[in-house]
Amino acid sequence: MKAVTDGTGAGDTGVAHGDLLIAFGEAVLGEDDARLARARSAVLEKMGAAALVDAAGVAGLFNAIDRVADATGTPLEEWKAEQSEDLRDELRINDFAGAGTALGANAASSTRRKPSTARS
Amino acid sequence: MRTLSYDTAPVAVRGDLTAAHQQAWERLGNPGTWLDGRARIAVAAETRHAPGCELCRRRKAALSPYAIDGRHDSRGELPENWVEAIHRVVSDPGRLTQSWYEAMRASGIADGEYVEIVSILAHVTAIDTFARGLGMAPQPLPAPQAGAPSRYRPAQARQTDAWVPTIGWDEHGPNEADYFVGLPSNIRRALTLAPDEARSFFAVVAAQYLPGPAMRDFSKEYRAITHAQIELLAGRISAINQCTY
Repeated sequence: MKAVTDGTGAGDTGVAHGDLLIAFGEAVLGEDDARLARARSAVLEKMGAAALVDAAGVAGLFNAIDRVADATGTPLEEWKAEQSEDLRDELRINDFAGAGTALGANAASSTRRKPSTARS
Repeated sequence: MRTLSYDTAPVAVRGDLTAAHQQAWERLGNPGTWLDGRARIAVAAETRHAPGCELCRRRKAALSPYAIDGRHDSRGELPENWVEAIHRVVSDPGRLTQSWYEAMRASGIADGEYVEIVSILAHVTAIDTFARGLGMAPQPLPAPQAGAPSRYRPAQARQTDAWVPTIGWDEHGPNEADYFVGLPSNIRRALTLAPDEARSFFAVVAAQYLPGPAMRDFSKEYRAITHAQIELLAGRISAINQCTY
């Protein structure tokens, strides 16, 4: 799961072809067209055309829905916030700029103060 | 005549995905809830223009975007406050604050207009990013269609825990009963101040990502990439965008 926050180079994602998908996602959101062409070719070659379409769909959708969430100040559901607390802490998601909005300022700051086993 | 086509795509695009994009694109040029067709297309065009804005680049690089003053590089079709709203959501969404949203409201952008602007921006971002992923040029924007916006504001929309008014999951009226199905979800509520925008955007969600029930059905796979692959990629995109939701 470290690949979610640390990206390419974080090591084994634990998901089949996860490294290709991470590289593809980063390239789609980046500005380096040559890097994107290489990442696209790798997904196409190793995973197939239908997988490339679905990966492009997911990357595009989340690039948009993130903006819907952030621009409307939509909070994370309480049950999701509770269930994901340890994972968010381990992956340092609570340090994201938008954490105060999604989690509520108190929830985000209290979680930030919690000692992180992943970082110790 | 449709303006969106994947006939020249380098790989075959699913029919349901093409249909969802064509429907969204057709809506884009039509009068909306608060914006007419011309304003909607102007918002879409400004969304595409924003990544080249020098002020946005300097703000993105700054410790705080609020420390950098200046004027946006815009297409000149929209008021400055609309341009500020569009450019900030495009270029630095993770650092938006409720104070900024309230400043946008105080500048004269009505809450319904703001929600529609965000929705248009999100539709264009989803479809343009998809095209970039496939190696295609952005689709030509549709021509604006004549007509007046509906100005429909659902009576049940109210201020709760989001910045914008929304309809509570169990508080909708009969006009929105078709939309509020399945498990409660805050993100599905986000655009409900303009219900047609919410319907349209979540039709794109279902086609580009997964329909609601399929998101939680791990007994089978619905796409050419698995649930695990989808969530890994989605998580990485959201992390790059600094989005906690």
